[in-house]
Amino acid sequence: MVQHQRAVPIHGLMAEFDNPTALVEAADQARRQGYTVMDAYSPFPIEEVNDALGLKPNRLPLIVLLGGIFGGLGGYGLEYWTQVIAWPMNIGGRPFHSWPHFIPVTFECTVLGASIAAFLGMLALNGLPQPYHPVFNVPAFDRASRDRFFIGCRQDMHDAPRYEPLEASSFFTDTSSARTLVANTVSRNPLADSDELLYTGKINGQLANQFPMAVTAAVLQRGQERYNIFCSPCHGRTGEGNGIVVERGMRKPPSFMEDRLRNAAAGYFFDVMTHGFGAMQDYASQISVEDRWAIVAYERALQFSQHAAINDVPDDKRADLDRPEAR
Amino acid sequence: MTKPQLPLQAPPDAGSAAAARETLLSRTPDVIAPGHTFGSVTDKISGIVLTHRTPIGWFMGFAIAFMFLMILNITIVKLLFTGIGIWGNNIPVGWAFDIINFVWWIGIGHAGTLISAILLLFRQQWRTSINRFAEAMTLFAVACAAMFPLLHTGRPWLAAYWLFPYPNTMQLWPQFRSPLIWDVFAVSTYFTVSLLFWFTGLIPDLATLRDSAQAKWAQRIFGVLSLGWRGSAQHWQRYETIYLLLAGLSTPLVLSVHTVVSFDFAVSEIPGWHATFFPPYFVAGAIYSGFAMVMTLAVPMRAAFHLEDLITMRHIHNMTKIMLATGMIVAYAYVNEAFYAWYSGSLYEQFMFTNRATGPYGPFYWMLIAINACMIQLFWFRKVRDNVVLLFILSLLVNVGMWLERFVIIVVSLHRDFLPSSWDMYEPTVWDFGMFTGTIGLFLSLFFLFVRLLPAISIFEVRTLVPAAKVKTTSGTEHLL
Repeated sequence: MVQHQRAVPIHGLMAEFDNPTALVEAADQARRQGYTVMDAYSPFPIEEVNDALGLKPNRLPLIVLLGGIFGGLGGYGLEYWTQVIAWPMNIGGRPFHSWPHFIPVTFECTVLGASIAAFLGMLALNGLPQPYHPVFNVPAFDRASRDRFFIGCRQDMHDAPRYEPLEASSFFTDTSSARTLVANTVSRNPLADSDELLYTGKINGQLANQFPMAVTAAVLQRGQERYNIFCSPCHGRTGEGNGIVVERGMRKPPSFMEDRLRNAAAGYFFDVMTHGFGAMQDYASQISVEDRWAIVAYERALQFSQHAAINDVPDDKRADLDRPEAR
Repeated sequence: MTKPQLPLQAPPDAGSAAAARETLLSRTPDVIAPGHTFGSVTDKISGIVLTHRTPIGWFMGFAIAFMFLMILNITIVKLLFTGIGIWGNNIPVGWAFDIINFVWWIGIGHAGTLISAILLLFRQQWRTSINRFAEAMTLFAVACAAMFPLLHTGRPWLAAYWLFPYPNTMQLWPQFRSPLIWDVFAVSTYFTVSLLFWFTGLIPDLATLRDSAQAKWAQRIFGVLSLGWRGSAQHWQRYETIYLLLAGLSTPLVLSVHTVVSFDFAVSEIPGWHATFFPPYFVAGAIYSGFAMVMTLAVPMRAAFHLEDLITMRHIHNMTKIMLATGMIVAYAYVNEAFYAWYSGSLYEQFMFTNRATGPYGPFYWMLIAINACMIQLFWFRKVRDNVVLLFILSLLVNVGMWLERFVIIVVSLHRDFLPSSWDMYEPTVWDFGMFTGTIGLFLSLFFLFVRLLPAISIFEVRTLVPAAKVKTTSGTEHLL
């Protein structure tokens, strides 16, 4: 049975430098190699890093301009409304709309609006305040605000340079472009040739109606659990093809109680789970081989349950039929 | 005709001219003492905040400042219970200490913004180690300044409806044709923008303190204040953009603030106030007095916390030179005042000037001329610029001179106006001095707290002055763009 462990996922990788020149050169090199989603961390702004990382000009000047326009129009609008509309007063015989008097306050409101937009815009675009960020988990990162320079890239595979198979790399110190696997990587069918029945559900190319392992109560329970997780949304808990997804209008799968499926080989179910069938996608990457067989065993039990007589239940288990979860 | 022979060689004295230039350059001190690293400047500045040992001098200074702060409290309580009749100003001198001190404090504030904004735009590297505390000085000075007009209303909570446009039950709105309401907007905008600018500058340094603080509670407080700053290149890029934009916005703002303050006078028709050259005159005077206050604060702070490496003689020299330049503009304005009085041909303008120079307050006028026009000529001499103790004393005198200037403009212009029957003398009361010394106490108390609790010098900007901060692309790689 596959072990299900949960390890903390790695956010990314970081390199530490003690001077800004090394940081800029590292950023430049990594970018030339094809890494584009990177960030550098430094105790003071370094203009050259922006170019090395290929940072684009930001939108803050536009935000500040809009803030200034908003503030200026607001200031002038307030003056116009109060002095001309809401409470017009004759001050020294001047017209109500004596606009030269409105300039100083309009100017101050423009500066105020633009400054507040600059400050809040910077925080908003930077996603600050943000008390926690994964980079703070790096113990040495304390010195990123002191005298050390860091560069980091995400561990995701969506941003990696392209290599030919077995190509040498000038970027990694071990000169290998093939990187070691990330912890908890699920292997996909590494031993398919070694055990045909287990990995394909076939014997000599023909679907086999037998199990590669002994079907025990533990296997059935495991199968029931996996079935309820992965299969029941469409196939329904009883296997009649009336799962919640179907009730919402998606295509209805056939019931396991059909004669065709009752007579199908056990290997057929394994094959469908491994490769998909019709509207059903394959589950090979989500359900391990052993669990797929456990689900086949449980499906067989579901089929059997619809055609069983009371005599098929052992005497000492008949009382369990009245338990709520058996209904 | 033979062509004149072009000299193929440099003139014989070119070498000596270059050498003279070299020696001149070598005489200019650096903006940061040699031998510093990123770590050492960080420790030097953050150490003042993070140390467990508060210097005894700090306690003594703070105690004295706090005593004056208590005088302010007593004065305000007395004022609110009795009314502004406890002050000496009365018709014809309706404005006196309250406005003198307001203008004095606002003017002092201007140097902070000048250093942080205008010198940034001009890429003056030497601003880096003095901008933080100069900005703090601005905030505290503006807070002190704002107190005077607010308290001059007697009941500030009742006066709010004509200061700020908010929908009140009387459905009245401020009168936007008055320079006094422009003042409200200018000063409150100035304070807000200065605060944003100051706090923006603090964010990366607060992150430094968060990462180097040992005590849990200190880490928490600095952690919250630093907003989770992590020094990402993407963040720095946006940060630099708005820092520059805020500087660009503050530059016209700071010029506008003292311009609006000068409108309080220039828009009226009192002789001695009604002058079109007031805005530039006031702005120059503001920067002049502001730099004097920066000097007054920098010299003791530099000595007390041994910051000679960061606030070098270069800074002291440059500040003195700016004081000299702006002081000369102010002196030129004094000449202008005399010229306009004569040239106007107006009896009242001419009387205003003779009354200033020879009237009952004449000595004050000659004192301000002695300080702001004559004494500052000492700043021409390198020996004076090198003597920090002397500069400290002179900077205090400059602030006295600038206070006298406002006294002369405000009180002396008012006490003898158009109608000789209403002439009167003005005498400040003990409460006037209580308010004035009290705000000095408030200012110094806040400054003492600031120096101890926050980095008084911008750490991240000083790091950029360290020689290693310069990126040397040895490989000659052209960056991908």
